[in-house]
Amino acid sequence: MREPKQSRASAVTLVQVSILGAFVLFAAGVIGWIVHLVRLSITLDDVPDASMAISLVAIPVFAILAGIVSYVVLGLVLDPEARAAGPEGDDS
Amino acid sequence: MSAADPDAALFAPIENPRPGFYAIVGLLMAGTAFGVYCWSRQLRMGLGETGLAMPVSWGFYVTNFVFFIGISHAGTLISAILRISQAEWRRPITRLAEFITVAVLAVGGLQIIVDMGRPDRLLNVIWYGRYQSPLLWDATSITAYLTASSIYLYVPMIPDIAMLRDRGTSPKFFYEVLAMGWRGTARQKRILSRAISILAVMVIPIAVSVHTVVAFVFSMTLQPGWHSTVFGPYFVVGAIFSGIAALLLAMIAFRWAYGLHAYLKEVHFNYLGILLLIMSLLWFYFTFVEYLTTYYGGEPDELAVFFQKWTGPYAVYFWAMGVCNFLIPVLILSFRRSIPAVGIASVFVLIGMWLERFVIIVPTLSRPRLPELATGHYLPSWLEWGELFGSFCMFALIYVLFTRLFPIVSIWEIREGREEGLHDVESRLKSYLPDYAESGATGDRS
Repeated sequence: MREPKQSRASAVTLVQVSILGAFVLFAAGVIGWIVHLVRLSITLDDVPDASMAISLVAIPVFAILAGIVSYVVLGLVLDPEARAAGPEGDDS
Repeated sequence: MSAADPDAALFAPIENPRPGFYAIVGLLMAGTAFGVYCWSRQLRMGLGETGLAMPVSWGFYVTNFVFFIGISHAGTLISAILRISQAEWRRPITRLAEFITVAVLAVGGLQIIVDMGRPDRLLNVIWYGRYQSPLLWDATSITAYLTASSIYLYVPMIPDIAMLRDRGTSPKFFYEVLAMGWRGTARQKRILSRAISILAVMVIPIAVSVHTVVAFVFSMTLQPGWHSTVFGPYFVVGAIFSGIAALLLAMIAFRWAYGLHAYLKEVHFNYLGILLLIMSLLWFYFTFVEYLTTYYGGEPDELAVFFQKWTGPYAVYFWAMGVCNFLIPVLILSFRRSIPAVGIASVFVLIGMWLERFVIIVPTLSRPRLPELATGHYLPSWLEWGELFGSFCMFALIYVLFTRLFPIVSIWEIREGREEGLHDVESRLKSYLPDYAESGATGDRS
């Protein structure tokens, strides 16, 4: 049977990873939306060059932001030294 | 709470909020509810309840949108520039500034929904948006800015959230999750520092692009008074100008409400007061250039709009804008930059910048270039005033609630300043001076 503190730590980690997942999903959603609008403009031949120019700027911005958030969350949560310090809120 | 904790004042609003806090939250909630009521009435009765009528289809709501998006430059841009330039005096003000951005962007974005008679049609933008429209550039850039600003607010907050977690502050699970396992290890510090640096660099061009794109909504049209190449930088300057004023007012309010006199000192108000003065002069320069070019060009449609502002029905707003944005701030800030002085100047600047947005938007629409469109005049209805009041209350409410959950001054940055900042500044100063070796850090004379 798991210790209550360990269960709590697992729950905390699960929520943290879920937050990261939600953010990555959000960024992917925005990128998907931009791609959809570019495809629509190509299909309708409705100034596709403007759509592509903007997507070239906007898509990398959201991709980089998703990368930074992933780097921070995974880097902090999975830090071996911090994990060795035990469940959070332990040592005040 | 430890009695010896030098930063106890920063934890107090979170751990022991005063009764006045709830009174203010109640008042702000009532104000916000009134704004929501005004909007709901508009939804039921239609846009005919407002003062909007052809040809003036944009009035208060779009003015508010541009104004609030402008204020958002307070935070991220000022904070990022001060971080990158290693301005040590930034430490107590960065979070105050960063949260203004996030809160005001959310409120500003809502103005567009309020402006729509049929908000459900917003879904059409998602399914059938056309990227040839600057309005969609706006939607994209504001989404990027809000996302980047939120991350830029959150990442530097992690060590402070970990402090709250370690103090056992409620809600415990909330702080445990948001602390992301922060223990302050060398690796974690490296990750945090690297992420903040990347975000600070990244957020500046995004912030500049946002208000440039807001300006494009007007300047990409051929409307008199709008079709101007100077509009992009003019809007960015105005945005930073109003942003600094909003930041100063937030500093004054929280210094008084939470007793942050030890953190927000006269020197911070003096430095930001100087920045406000510079921005006032820069704003006047852009305004002068814009209006002189229009007048000298003598193009009839342009002149019609010009005289609407200069001597016509919008002259009161136009001249009030000049007095509030230039005359009063320059007179005050050139001679006095005490806390009351910068506070008064900031109030005038915010009024003046709102008027500036109004004066840009409405007179042009009231005298359209196309002859088949009739001229018109715009007077807002009480619903629009109510929505404006509600929006300000909502912004203040979001801000106040934030301070109930998170420290409004970055505690770890203050502590870092105490422990390392003094040494860093000395080393940097020595590296600038000719009498010291290039490394500077050792202080060895060459």
